Amino acid sequence: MNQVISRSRLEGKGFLALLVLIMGIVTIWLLANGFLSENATIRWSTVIAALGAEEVLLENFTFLVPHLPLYMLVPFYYIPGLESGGAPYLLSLLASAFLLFLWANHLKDVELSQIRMAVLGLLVVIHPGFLWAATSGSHIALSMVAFYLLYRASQHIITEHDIHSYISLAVTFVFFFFIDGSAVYIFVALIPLLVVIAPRRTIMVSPFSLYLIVGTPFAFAIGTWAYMNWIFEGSFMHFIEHSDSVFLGGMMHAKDYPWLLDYGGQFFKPLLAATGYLLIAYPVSLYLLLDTIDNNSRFRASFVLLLHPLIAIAIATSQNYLTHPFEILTLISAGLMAELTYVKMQTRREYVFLVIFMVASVIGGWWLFIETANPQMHQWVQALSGKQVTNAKQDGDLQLGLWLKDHRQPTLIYERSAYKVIAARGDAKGLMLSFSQDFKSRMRERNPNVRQIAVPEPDSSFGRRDWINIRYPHLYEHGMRGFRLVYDHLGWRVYRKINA
Amino acid sequence: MSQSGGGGKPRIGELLMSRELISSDQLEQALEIQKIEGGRLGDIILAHHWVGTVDFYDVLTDHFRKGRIGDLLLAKGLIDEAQLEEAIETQKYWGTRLGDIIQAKGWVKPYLLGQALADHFEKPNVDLIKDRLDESLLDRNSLSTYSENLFVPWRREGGLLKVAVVDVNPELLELVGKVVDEPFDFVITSKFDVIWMLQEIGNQFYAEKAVHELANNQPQFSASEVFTKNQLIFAFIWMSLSVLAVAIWPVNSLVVFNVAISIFLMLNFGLRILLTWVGGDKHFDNLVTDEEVMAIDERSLPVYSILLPMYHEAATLPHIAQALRSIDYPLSKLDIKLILEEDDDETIDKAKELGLEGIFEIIRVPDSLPKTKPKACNYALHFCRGELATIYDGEDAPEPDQLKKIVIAFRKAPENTGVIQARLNYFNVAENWLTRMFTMEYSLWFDFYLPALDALRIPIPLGGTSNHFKMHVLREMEGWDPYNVTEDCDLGVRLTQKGYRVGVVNSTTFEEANNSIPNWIRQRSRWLKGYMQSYLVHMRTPLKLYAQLGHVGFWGFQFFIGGTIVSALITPLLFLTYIIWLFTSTTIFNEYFPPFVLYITLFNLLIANGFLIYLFMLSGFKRRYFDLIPWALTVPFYWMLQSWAGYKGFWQLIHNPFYWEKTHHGLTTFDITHDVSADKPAAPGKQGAGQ
Repeated sequence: MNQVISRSRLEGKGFLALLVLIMGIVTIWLLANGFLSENATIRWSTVIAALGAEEVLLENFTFLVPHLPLYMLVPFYYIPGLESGGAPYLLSLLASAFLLFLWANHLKDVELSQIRMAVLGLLVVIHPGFLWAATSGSHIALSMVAFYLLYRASQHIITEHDIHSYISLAVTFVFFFFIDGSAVYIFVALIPLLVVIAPRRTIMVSPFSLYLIVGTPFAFAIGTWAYMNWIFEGSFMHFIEHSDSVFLGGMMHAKDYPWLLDYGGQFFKPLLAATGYLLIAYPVSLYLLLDTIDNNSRFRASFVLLLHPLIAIAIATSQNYLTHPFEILTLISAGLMAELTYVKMQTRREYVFLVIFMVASVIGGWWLFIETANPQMHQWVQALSGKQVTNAKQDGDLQLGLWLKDHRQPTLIYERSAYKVIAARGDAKGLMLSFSQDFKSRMRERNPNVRQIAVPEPDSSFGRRDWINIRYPHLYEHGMRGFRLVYDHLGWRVYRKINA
Repeated sequence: MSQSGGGGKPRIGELLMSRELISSDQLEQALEIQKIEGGRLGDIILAHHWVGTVDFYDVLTDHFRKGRIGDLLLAKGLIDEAQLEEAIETQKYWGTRLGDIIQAKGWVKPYLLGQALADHFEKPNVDLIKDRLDESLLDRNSLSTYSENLFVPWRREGGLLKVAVVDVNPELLELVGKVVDEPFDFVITSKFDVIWMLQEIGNQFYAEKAVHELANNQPQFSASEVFTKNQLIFAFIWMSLSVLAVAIWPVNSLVVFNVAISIFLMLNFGLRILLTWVGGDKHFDNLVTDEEVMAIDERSLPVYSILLPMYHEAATLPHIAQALRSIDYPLSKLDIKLILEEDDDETIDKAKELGLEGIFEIIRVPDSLPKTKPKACNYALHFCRGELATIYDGEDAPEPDQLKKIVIAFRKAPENTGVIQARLNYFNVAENWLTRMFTMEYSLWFDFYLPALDALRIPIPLGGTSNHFKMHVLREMEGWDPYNVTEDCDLGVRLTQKGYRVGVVNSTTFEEANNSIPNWIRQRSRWLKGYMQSYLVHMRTPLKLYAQLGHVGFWGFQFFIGGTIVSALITPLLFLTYIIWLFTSTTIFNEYFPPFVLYITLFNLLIANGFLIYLFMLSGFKRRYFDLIPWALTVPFYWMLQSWAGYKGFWQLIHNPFYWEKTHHGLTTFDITHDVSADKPAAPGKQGAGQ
C-alpha cells in the first residue's frame, strides 16, 4: 500500500516536473519571439552593474528596489552563458517550480490521487496568472511563493492557531517586503481580516497583541530598510521619495497607466472593479466560499482568499501604486493552491465541481488577461502566440549595448536610463555608474576626465531623467570640448575623448 | 519476639523446622543454650546464623505480629474510626502502607507511630537520643546507606547485633543483612531519631562528601580549580599573540576581531531563531496530556524525594509547605527534605513551629565553606529515599500535577533519560518592568529554548529548580558541583557528556521574579559567573567534549552557553561604538568596518536585534501574557542590565569565584500561586510581605 502511495506521489510529481519543463519551453519560445520583460531587464542590469563594479557593495543595488530578487540573481551572474539576460527568467521558472513542488508536498495532507493532482496542477499552471508570473521573468513568481506561504500560515492560524503559524505569517511578510513593493498593501489589507483569521478568544482578550505579533517584524523590516536608506543614501525616506523608486509603483507616472487613470486615488471603485475581475478570472474563489459555507474554519479561509486581494488592490490603487490589477490578482493563483491543500475532496461530485470552476477560471482569466493587457502583457500574449514582438535592429538600447560590448572603454553612463544597454552589453566592467565614486567625481568636473560618455536623447522619457543630461544639458546636441562623437544611433550618442 | 504467641499459634522452632530452615539438632542446641543462658529462642537461632533474618521473619510473618497497625492505633486512641476508614480507602489508590498514609496525613506523630509499629512487631521502640547507639558498631563507609535507608546498627545484645530500623520489610532486612554482614535482629525507632543521630555522628563525613566527592572522584568536572594550567597557558599565548598582532597590524587585527565577533553574534542569533522555531512546536505543549495524568495508577508511582534548600526564608516556608501538601501525588510517597543551614535558626524555628507532617524532614547542613546551595543539596542527598528527586525553592509554586507528569514523562522517555526539567515561570508577572522582562525571558528560555535543545540534543543548562532526576543517576553523577555557582547548568552538561538525556516536560513551576534591580544584578551576576565556570570546566578538554557531544551538541554548547556569556560582555562595547558613531558622525571607525563587516554588523544591529525583541514578544504571546508584548520593545535596556551583571560576574570569577551571591526572595507584593490566570497575571496580594 505504501509502495503504491509513494509511487503515485512520484508519478504526480513526475507530471509536475513535466509541467515545469513545458513552462521552460514556453519561456524559451517567448524569448525567441522577442519578448523581453522590463522588470527582468532592470533587475538583471542592476545585478550585473553592481557585481561588475570595481568594489562590490550593497549600495550598488540601490535602495529603490526590493533586494531579495536581486540577491537571488547573484549566483546566476557567475554561471557562464547567462550574460545575455536569461537569469531572471530562469529564476522565475525555478521559483514557480519550487512553488509547485511545495504545493504537491502539502497536498499529501488531502490524500489526492495522482491523476487528480495532475489535473489540478495543469489547471493551475495554464491559468494566465500563474503562467505569466512563471514565464515573464518578473519577480511575481517569488511574490507568489511568498503569498502561498502567507496564505498557508493564515490557514494554519485558523485551524491550528499554534505559535508556528503566527511566526510564519510574520516572517513571510518580512520576506515579502524584500521581494515586492506591493507587500505593504498586502499587509495593510490583511489587517482588518486578521479578526477573521485569529481565534476569537485572542481577539476578544487582546487584539492589540495579535497585531503586534503579526506586524512587528514587518514594521522592523520597513524600519530596517529606512535605516539602510539613511546610512547609505542620507535619508530615511529615500526609497519613497526618489522618483525612480519601485516602492512608489505607478505613482509618479499615473497618466501612463489606464488602470490608474480610471481608478487612481479611489478606493471603492477599484474595489468594485477588482471584484469583477476576480469573478471573471477566479470564479473558483467564489465556489470555494460557497462550498465551505457550513465549515467554519474553511469558510473563514475562503473568505479571506476572496476578500484579501481585492482590498489590497483597492488600497494600492488608492495610493496610485498599482499599475494593473493583475499585479496582485495573479497572486490568487498561489492563494488558491494553498486553499486546495486544505480541501478534502471526499466526493467525486465535489472534485468535478472544483475542476469545472477551475476551468472556468482559466477561460475567464485568459479572456480578462487579453482584454485588459498592458503593453508588456500584450507583448507576452503576442509572443506566446508565435508573433515576433520586437525588432532587435530597431532597439536603440540593444544596439548601444552591443556596440559598447565591442568597444570596451571606460564609459560614463547613467544606469537607470541605460539598464537595457547594460543588460545587452552583458556586463558592467569598465562602466562608470551612478553609485560609484568615479561617476560622482567625474560629474563634479566641468569636463569629465573619462574616455567615453553615453547619453540618451534628452527629450525621451529616459533622457529627461538621465543625470548626465541634467548635469550636461547640451552634451547630446552639441557634444563637449575635447570629445568627439563616435556613436549616434536610435536615440543614443557616445562621445569619446579625443586622442583616447 | 516470643517463643509462643499463645493460643493455637505454632512455636518458632516448629515453624522453622517445618520450613526446613533449621534442623532438629539445631533446635535442640538452641533450646539447650536458652536453658543455660536464658534469652529468646529466635535471638539464639539468629545469633548462630543458622537462618538469615529475612527468612526468619518471612516464616514468622503474621504468626507473631500483634494485630494490625490501624487497629493498634485505633485502640491507642491515636486515630478515630473515620480516619482509619479514610486511610484504608486511600490505601486502595495509593498502594502504600497504612502507617505511611497516616503519617503523611499528619494524624499521628512519627514517634507514636513507631511505638505502634514496635507493638505490632513486639519489638522494643528505641529512642536513639536517650538510648544512644554504640558508635563502634558503625561502618563509616556505610553512613550513606544508613541514612538513605533509615536504619542504623544500634547495640550488640547477647552477642546478636541489634539494628534500629524505622520500617520493617523484607527488602530492607535483606539490605541490612548485606550491610552489617552478620546475624542481626531489629528494634524499632523513629525516622527522625535515625536522621538526627546520623547527622550528629556523620556530620563530618556527609559534609566532606558534599563538598569534595566530585572534586576527588571526578576532578575534571569540578570547578574548584577555576583555570587549569593549560587554560592559563592558552590564554597567555592567545593574549600575547593578539597584542602582537594589534601592534604590528592594528587595522587588520581589529577588522579580524570585528569579523569574528560579528559572525559569532550572527550565528548566535541564528541558533536562537532555530531554537524558537523548533521549541515552538506545539507537541512540546502536549508531551504529557491531562488524560494521561488522569489515567495513571497511583499505586505504580514511585517514592519522590523533594529537596527544599532554604536559607533565611522563614517567611516563605508556610507557602511552599502548603504548595507541596496540595500537590497531586500520594503524600505517603513524598520524601520532603527541608534543607536548612545549621546557623539559620529563624527558618529552623519556623519549621518546628509549623509542626509539619511526617513527610517533611529537616536536614541541618553544617556550617562550612563553600556555603552554596549545591553543597546543601549534596548533603541532603545522603538522606533521600526516593526513586526520583527534585529541587524546589522556597517561593516555588509548582503546578499540582507536576510530579505525576514527570513520572509519565520518564516512562515515555528513552531509558537513558537522566533528568527532566519542568518549565519555570513567574507569578508576579506584572509587578514592575523588571518582572515583566524577566517573565518574558524565562518564557522564552523554558517554553522555547529548552524543548528545542532537547530535540536537537544540545546540552541543556538545567534551571535552578524543578529539575527532576532519577536518583540513581544523580548519585552516579555524584550530585552537584558545590564550587559551581550554576551547578544546575553544569550538571545538565555533565549528564549529556555521560550519555544521559536531559528532557523537558510541559508543566510549570511558578516562582517569584526578581523585582529589584540590585537584587536582580546579584542573581544574574551569579548566573553568568556560573556559566563562565561551567564553560571553563567543560572546555578543559575541548576535543574530548567534541567527541562526547557530537557536532550539534558541541557547537550548540559553544553558542548557547558561550554565546550567552559573549553577548553579555560584548553588547555594551558594540552599543557604545554605535552611539559614538551615531552622535558624532565620526569616521574613525570606518577602516575597522570594511563593507563586508559593516553589512554583517548592520544585519546584527537591525535584523538580529529586531528579531530578538520579537522573540520576547512571542514568549509573552505563547504564555498568553498579552499585556507583556508591548513591553518587549524595551528589552534592549534589559540587555544592558544583563551586561552589567555579566561584567560583575566576570570580575567575581577572577576575584571571588565561589562566592554565592544570595538572591533575596519574598520581596514581591504578589501572592505565591501556581494559578496564574491565562488572561490576567496574578494580582497583587500581600503588601510588603517578607520585606
